[in-house]
Amino acid sequence: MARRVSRRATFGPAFIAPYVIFLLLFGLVPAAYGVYNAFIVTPVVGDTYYSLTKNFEDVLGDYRLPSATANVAMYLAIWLPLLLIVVFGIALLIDSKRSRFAGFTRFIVYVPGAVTGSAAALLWLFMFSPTVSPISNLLKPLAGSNGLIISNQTLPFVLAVMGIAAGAGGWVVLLLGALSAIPKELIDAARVDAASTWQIIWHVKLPLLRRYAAFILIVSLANGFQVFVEPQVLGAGSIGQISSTWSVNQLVYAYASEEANFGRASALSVVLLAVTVVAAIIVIKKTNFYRVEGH
Amino acid sequence: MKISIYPIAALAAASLLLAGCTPTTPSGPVQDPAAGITVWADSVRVVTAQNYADANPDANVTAVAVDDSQGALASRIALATNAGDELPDVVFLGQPDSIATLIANPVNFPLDVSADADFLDGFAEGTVARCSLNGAAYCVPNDIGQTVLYYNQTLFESFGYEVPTTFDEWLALGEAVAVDHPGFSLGSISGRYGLDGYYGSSGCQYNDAKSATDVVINLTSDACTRVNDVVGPLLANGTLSTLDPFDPAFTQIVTEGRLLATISPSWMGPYGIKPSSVEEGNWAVAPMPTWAGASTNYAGAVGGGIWVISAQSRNIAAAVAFVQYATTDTEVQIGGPTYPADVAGAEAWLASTTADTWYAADPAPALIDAAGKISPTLGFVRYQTQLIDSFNQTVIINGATDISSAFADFATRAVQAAEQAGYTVLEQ
Repeated sequence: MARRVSRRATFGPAFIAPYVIFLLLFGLVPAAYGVYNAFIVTPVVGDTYYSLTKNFEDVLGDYRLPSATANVAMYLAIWLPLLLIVVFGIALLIDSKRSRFAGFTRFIVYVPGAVTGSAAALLWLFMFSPTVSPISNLLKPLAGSNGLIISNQTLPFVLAVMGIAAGAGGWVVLLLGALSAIPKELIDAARVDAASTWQIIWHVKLPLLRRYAAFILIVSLANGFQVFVEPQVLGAGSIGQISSTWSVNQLVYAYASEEANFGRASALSVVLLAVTVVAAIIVIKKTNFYRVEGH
Repeated sequence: MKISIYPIAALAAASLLLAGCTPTTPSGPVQDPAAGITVWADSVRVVTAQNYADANPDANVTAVAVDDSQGALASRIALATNAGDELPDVVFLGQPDSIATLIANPVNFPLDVSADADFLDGFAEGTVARCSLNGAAYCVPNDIGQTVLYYNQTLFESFGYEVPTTFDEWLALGEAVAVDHPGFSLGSISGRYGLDGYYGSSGCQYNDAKSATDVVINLTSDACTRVNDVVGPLLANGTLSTLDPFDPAFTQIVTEGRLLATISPSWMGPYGIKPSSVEEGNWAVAPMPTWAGASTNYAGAVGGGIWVISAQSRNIAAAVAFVQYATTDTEVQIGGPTYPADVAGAEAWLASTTADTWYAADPAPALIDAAGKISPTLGFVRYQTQLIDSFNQTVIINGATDISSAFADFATRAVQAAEQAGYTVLEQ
């Protein structure tokens, strides 16, 4: 028995070691360095000094931050609810009528998710460009006075469409897995009690999927707050239509690249991290995400 | 989740301790005439460096191709400085505004070349001055993007229009075009083409840097309002386009032959118009029109690269020799893609432009005229991207309805951008 414990004690750390090493090297150490950097103030001329508040005051008082925050908030407000509705809608629909095409349907739903990040941004850049888009006639009513679709104002909608097209498929597959794990007896029992399909979804399936909703929300929130690649690529593609500091993370990038002010860049990153963590904590608390069954 | 306050307290203590010790400004390193030099340049100019390296094996030149997109090079040098890595001896900046980042903390990269380079007099008037601050010259100009008036001579003749020599005539032309030939365009005013081409050429001060920390911003002057008087009506009647000249929707205008004329940088002909309007014998170049009340037809500037030598170079003489080769060697200039800043080099470069039958008339005189007249109010600042963003969000979006209030919004943001980037904003 004692020997077994010691073996387990060696194997456990050995198994997680690769993960821990990567977490340390590429996760925690850079994050800690970023936090440290946030307190280093680099004035344009003169000596570098340390301050607990200066960089934070500078970035929180930046005239670009309110609009960047509003842009990201708008994007999240459109994207997150839509994502949940679409993902749950499709998953429940596929699940309610299990046919022999289920596997194929699942694959079809997942395919758009294969195009992500900058590739997706490029793809949608063409989709939303009236002169080259295959659906340009459909888009015409949405164009601004300059004939273009993509602008600072329409970007939240564009990003929401992109985000759902790229992300929904993966989540649907995840939810289908969760749905198939619901004991058949539970559904049968509900049927025996004369529950309609709608009632089964509402009173049996959805409550059991609550934590999956939380998981989707947490992951999406973290990604959404830090949105960077899509507006950056769309901005580079539709020149002059999108502010170079449209999202908060782009503002971070502007500090680090054009102003070479790593202190400010780190300070705003820390603020962004804090916001993401707080949002995640709220979601976790509200959905009892970590509650263990039976406690 | 429980957050320990100990790390924060420790950090605070450490910061108090460290605040006492301050780094000293390093003075230049000891010179070593045998030391090799490293050159960082974009994919075009790295060829120049490589050719130089091959022709001068004793100079021991290492040419490195680097990403030259906005901000990339400045941040790379800043990171290398922070990390204590080897810095290049010479850098090419295709985004010359980056020089404003390089002369500030934490980089403090450039060498004042005014004492070491005896060939600075050979460059087009005002091009060295653009990155001269407090008497120090921090760059050697490579090429310039002086603005000129491109016009479709064939269309002008068939419509019976005269080529404008003043911006009042430009305005009159735009108003006539809107009535008589709707759908025809007088070019793009988006972003830097509008800001640096129109407002910049008029002497409107939004980036007139005097030092790393001082900039003159005066956006209520006549030099700005007279541009509003021209731009506002032409935005309203649609003859000036709010699209970027490289937006597919704008290229379509050029392809369809509806671009009548445009105030554009010198490189716009071969790289912006020619690919979409390939037919020979249509396009000609005229000097910049003069703004109302101005005595000189100053040009704006869009683009134009610069060379910067590191103050930390251990072989300044070799670095200067290379930069002199890159900017003044006639063969190099002839092979360059855009208008050389070196006056003699430009003359040689223009030979092929003059011979190009795509032009309806020799563009050389107009290009030469504008080359020496880039407005002295145009400087390099750290907030140039923010200026362009703000310009697009104010004048470009709202200028057609109310140019004055749109420009006032721009003025507010320009001052905010300058202050946020660490500048003290001066009135004059």
